[in-house]
Formats: sequence, structure tokens, C-alpha cells
Amino acid sequence: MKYIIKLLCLLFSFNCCYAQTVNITGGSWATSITSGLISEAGNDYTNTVATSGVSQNQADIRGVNGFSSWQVSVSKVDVDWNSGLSVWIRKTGDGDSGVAGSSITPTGSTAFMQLTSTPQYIFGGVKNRNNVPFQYEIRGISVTIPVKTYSTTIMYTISAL
Amino acid sequence: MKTLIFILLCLINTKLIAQVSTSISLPSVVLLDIEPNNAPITLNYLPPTEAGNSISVAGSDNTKWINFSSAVEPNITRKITAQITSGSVSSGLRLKLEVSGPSGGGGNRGNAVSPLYLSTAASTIVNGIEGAFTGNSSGSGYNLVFSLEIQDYSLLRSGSNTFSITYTIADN
Repeated sequence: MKYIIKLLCLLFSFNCCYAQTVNITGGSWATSITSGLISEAGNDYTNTVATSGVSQNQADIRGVNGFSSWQVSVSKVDVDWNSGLSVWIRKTGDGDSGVAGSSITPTGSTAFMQLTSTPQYIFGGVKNRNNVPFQYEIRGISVTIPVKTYSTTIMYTISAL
Repeated sequence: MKTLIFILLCLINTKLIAQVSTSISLPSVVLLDIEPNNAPITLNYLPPTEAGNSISVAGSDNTKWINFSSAVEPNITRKITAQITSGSVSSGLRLKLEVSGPSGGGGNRGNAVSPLYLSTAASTIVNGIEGAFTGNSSGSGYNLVFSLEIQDYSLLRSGSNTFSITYTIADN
């Protein structure tokens, strides 16, 4: 029993020293569609996709230097959404790290992937990583979707392995 | 012991979450026009060739189409009305409008109200439009078929009349 208690204390301290975190910078992405994009009666929007900046958000991965590897999954939780709209995300760069032996996978820009309520792997790596950039798209813009402001929350989940 | 090991593994493999909000605002859209253009149409009556016969109408005109784009807030519908806004139909005649469709496009394009007789009062010709588009061309949207009917033969006089019809799309 004493042995077990000592082991528990050791592992708690181990976890506190290596508290992995994911921090997202860049703030919220709010976009508005202009009605003037439709110039002829009878038409729907020609461009049905809204695209954020290439580096709309950046992810900082910290506290993982003591782990063999880590990975980040993404998902979304709808606040007020329409099923005709879809949200897509892609990684647009590798960020940087001042730690020897740091790596990231996959490297460079990735293809857009559709966000759902189920977490999906988007990137992983070894040791701390800073400023990994992300870009978003909202697809399916149409006059057939009721007029209002729709919102959703994008979740980034880090798992250290 | 196995339970303890499982708990320890859970402590090691902890997860943390960050989140960011995303939003998109869609605007109201309301556009309407007549295809292929706003050029006048002509409806004629022909004189009889035999004494004792009535004049006869030369036919109808089905060359005009209403096209529209509409984006509305939830629980809002729109209608299209038509009315004579300048000039008048010749005495003794009435202008009949038959509306058919919709053809092409997508969304909730409403329903035609047909047939009806146009006057200087606004008459609903399409109702229940929500978020929708008809397509931009003749052959898309709602087809308008105009014809004349004799209402009172005793009032008929020779000559021609010119009048304008105004179409309006608005919230109900």
C-alpha cells in the first residue's frame, strides 16, 4: 500500500511537470456575405464558399517535451447552425520550435477536411510546437438558407502519447 | 492492481481542449425582373369578315417570364403583385393574366395565383416565396400569359390603348 501511494505521488508530479496544452491564437473568425454579390434576378450566389485568411488561427503545443509524441484532433460544436452549411479546416504550415528534436507531421499545407462533431486527427508531432497556422472555409452559401447569423465552435483536442 | 495501472495510464494520457468561435452572417436578398426584357407586348382584336359577327381576339402573349432571387429571415414569406400603374385597358375589355410555374431554380419559389384580371389595384400573382432563386432567363421562373376578354361589348371603341404593368416583390 505504501508502495502504491508513493507511485501515485510520483506519477501525479510527473503529470504536473509535463502538463500538455494546446493554445489557439488569432481570435474568432466572423465573416459576412454581401447581398450585392448577386447582381441579376434569378441567380443564386456564384461563389458558395467563404474562406478565412491563410493563417486565421495558430496553435501552440506546449508541455509535451517529456512525451514520446502528441496529436491534435479537431471537431465542432454547433451553437446555431444550418445543415446546408459545412465548415472545413486545413493546416497551412508547420509553425516553429526552439527545441532540438522537434518535428511535425504531416508537413506543409494539408487538404481541407470537413469538421463534424466527431474529433478527427489533423496533425501530430514530437516536442513543443508554436504558431502552427490554420485556414477555414464555410461552404454551401445559398439564398435558400434563411437569413441570420450562424455560429459554431471549433474544438482542438491534444493527446500526449 | 489492474485498476490502479489503468488509472495511472489515464493520468499519463490526459487531453486538453482549446476552442475558437466561427460565424457567418447571411443577408436579405430581393431581386426581380422580367425576361427576356421590358419591351412592350401587343394584344389586338381583329375585325369580323362577315356582317353580324363579333370582333375576335388575335391571341395571347406568353413571351414574358418573371425571374427573382429571394433570401428571407426564418418564418418570413414574400409575394409578387402586379398592377396597372399608367394608362388603362380599353373600355369594355379586361386584361387576363395566367401565371404558370415555377420552372428551374431552387428553394421555396412559392405558388402561382392564377388566373386573374389586372387592374390598378395590386393583385398577388405569386405567393409563399421564401429562400429561392428561379434561374436567370426566359423559360425560368414564372411564365406570364396575357390575353384580353370582352367584358362589355357596348363600350368598345376603335383605337389603341397603352398601359404599363408594375411587378413588386415584398414581404407578406
